[in-house]
Amino acid sequence: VTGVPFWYVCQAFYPCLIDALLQSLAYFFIRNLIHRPLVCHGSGNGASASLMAIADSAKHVVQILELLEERRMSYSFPINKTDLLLSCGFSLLWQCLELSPDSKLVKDNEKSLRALANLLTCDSLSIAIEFLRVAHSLVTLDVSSPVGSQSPPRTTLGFASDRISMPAPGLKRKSARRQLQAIASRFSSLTQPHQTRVEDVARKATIPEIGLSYLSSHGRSSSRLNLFSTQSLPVFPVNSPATTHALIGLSPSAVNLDYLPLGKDGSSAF
Amino acid sequence: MTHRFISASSGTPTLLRDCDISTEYPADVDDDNLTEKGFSSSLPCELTKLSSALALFKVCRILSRALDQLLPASASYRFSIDNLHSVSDELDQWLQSIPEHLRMKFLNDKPSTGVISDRSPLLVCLPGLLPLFN
Repeated sequence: VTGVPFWYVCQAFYPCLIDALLQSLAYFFIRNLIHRPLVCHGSGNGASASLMAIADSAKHVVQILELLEERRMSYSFPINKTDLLLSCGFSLLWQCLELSPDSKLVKDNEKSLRALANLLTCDSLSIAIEFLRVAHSLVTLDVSSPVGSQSPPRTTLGFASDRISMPAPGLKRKSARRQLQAIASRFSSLTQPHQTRVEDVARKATIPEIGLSYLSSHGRSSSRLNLFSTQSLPVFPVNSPATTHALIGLSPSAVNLDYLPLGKDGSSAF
Repeated sequence: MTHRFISASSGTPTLLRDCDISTEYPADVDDDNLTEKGFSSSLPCELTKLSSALALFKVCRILSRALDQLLPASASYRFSIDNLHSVSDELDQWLQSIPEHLRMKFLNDKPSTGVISDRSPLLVCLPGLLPLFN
């Protein structure tokens, strides 16, 4: 025996899991589709039963996609993954519309939406940011926060780094996210106005503004730049605007003009 | 099949109606069981590679019915709850009818992959066991 039976087991049964996942995806997608008209146009018991059905289907679809991602299996369902995730996300949000924020269903949905946001971030950063903006108006997701819509790049960066070196994806992803959240919280504490001088506030405030605008217009590629600028923020030299512009690739005219007099003052002060 | 799913995703009407398609489903037999004289039927518990495709073809029929009856493009369409329940029941029956190994089980509201998966104990131990066999 040279290990052949083991590989035989692997090859014989591995497709079963993929097939089962595929059939389940088809089932839940069609179930969601069937109940959608009644949710949109109906009222009363029928509509609430359908609402439960679509939210339940959406939750299971997210679980299945999460499992696919976790096991590094290929996604072979004949529908665009982003479309599928978005329709599930809106199904979950729809259920949250008429419920109190403390209810158990909303808490469950928030958990699913968090997983969905992570999947969506892997798939398309710009769409994830837009979706999170909508989601934040209905539920509280700790996926984003300290710096608002800047957090999706953080999770993406975690995933991207996982993909490069994979051995323990779950652990690495968590530790990377923790590190990035620590950086972000330190950064957000630096931007508190009551803790810093006025000049510092103005100087530091230019950075996130540049980061956010650049992020929203350029999507995924900007995440590394943002993080980079965040990390190097405390050690910026006096002529940091030039460094920042060179780093981020923006013309000086595109940035906050309030900074310019500060640069002159700063150079004499230092 | 893809056409039905694209139609469901984009909201566009389907080009081919199910009633115009009369192609038979393929037999649920693997290539290994095909001979010159015909095919030898596999055991009822035996897994075939075609069963997954057949299950998908069948669920596509239900999807097609849902698109025609519940989400039509016609402006004069009147929604019927009976139709909705009938299609929904058909979908549930389909799930009960597909082979056991194609059905995803949910334990405690979470997908259960069972013992047989890519993380089965045998495969987890495989890297440690391989040197023993060399």
